[in-house]
Amino acid sequence: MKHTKTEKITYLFREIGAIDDRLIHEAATWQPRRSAMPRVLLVAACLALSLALTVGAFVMASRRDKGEDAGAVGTPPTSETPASPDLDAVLLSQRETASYTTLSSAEEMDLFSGKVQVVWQYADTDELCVSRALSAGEVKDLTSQIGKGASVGESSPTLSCKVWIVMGDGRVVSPYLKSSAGNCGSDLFDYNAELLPSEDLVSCISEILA
Amino acid sequence: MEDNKIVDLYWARSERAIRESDVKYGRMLKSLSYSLLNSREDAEECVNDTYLDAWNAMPEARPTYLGAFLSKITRRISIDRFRTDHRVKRGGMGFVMEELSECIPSGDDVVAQYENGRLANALNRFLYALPTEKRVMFIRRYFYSQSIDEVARGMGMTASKVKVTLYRLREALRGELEEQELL
Repeated sequence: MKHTKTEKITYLFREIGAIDDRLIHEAATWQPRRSAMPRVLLVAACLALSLALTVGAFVMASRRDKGEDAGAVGTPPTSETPASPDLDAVLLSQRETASYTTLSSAEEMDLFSGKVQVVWQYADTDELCVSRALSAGEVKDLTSQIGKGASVGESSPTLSCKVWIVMGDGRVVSPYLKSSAGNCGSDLFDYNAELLPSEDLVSCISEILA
Repeated sequence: MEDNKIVDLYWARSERAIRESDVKYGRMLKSLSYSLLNSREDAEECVNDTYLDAWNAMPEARPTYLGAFLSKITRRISIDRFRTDHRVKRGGMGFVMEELSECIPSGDDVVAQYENGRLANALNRFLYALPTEKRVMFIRRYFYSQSIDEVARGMGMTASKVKVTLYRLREALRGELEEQELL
């Protein structure tokens, strides 16, 4: 029994080495808070930040309504601007269908259900759309396409939807990101698209939602 | 140099990647390995092996947090070295593992479940649910194997507060592992 407990301790110690990179990075870089700023300066800083965020949100909303590229004010589309991704079109076309269930917020999403699901969020709402659980074959087809799309280059496209693949064991990936250990999160993380999902991946999701 | 630029060097198969990694993270990695092995020579060897592993892992891997990526490799290599050498020295890994024994649920009927990834997932869930300060403390003690004094200094608090907090965290982790019937 003592030997078994030793093995368990060793296993636990080793498995601590498998926690998220983000947590390890946070622990390495975290600094204790400095002594508090004078109250007046703190209040002024908060007001300035609130104002900046409010103005920024208003500007972003206006640009989104006008369909402008959020990263290039006043810049007309060129032949080099990435075209609207097809996955966007597939998900927008699903908006009025019953091919998914909805959750009112990310907090309601169970990332450890044991089910692999496609999860997406339209840009104009906090609701999450969740597909049915994928079959083993669908999981294999879908995950084989993660990271295989064309790079977006310098400019990340404006997307109508954020999309994640929830792996059911706490891991979350996105078809808009390159495949790497660093791009695998443990929540429905925000991101800037690094690549456009491949045609095969878009077809796969389209069939899942059909 | 920024992490993504160093990673670009790995992908470009430039040996400068190793030099830049060592400049940015060498000291941290050696400190991590030394805290586990209590031997400067072994720590240096483990760090050199880390760079080789990282070189072989890229391209393919493209870590967002290069420091964390390298730290994981160093830690794994150091643990393997510790087990291979069968040396149990005072300090370092021995003390840390002794503390972690408190997290192992007792009872003859506990069945060890070595399911791949389940324990790591449980640890992630446990850590993400903690306030930042406690999470950082836990990881500095049990991932980086820093001494209590080092943790206390780095966090700007007393050693006794660190000890008490870590004790409570271990109890909480033990409860989690019992509830999920892990270990």
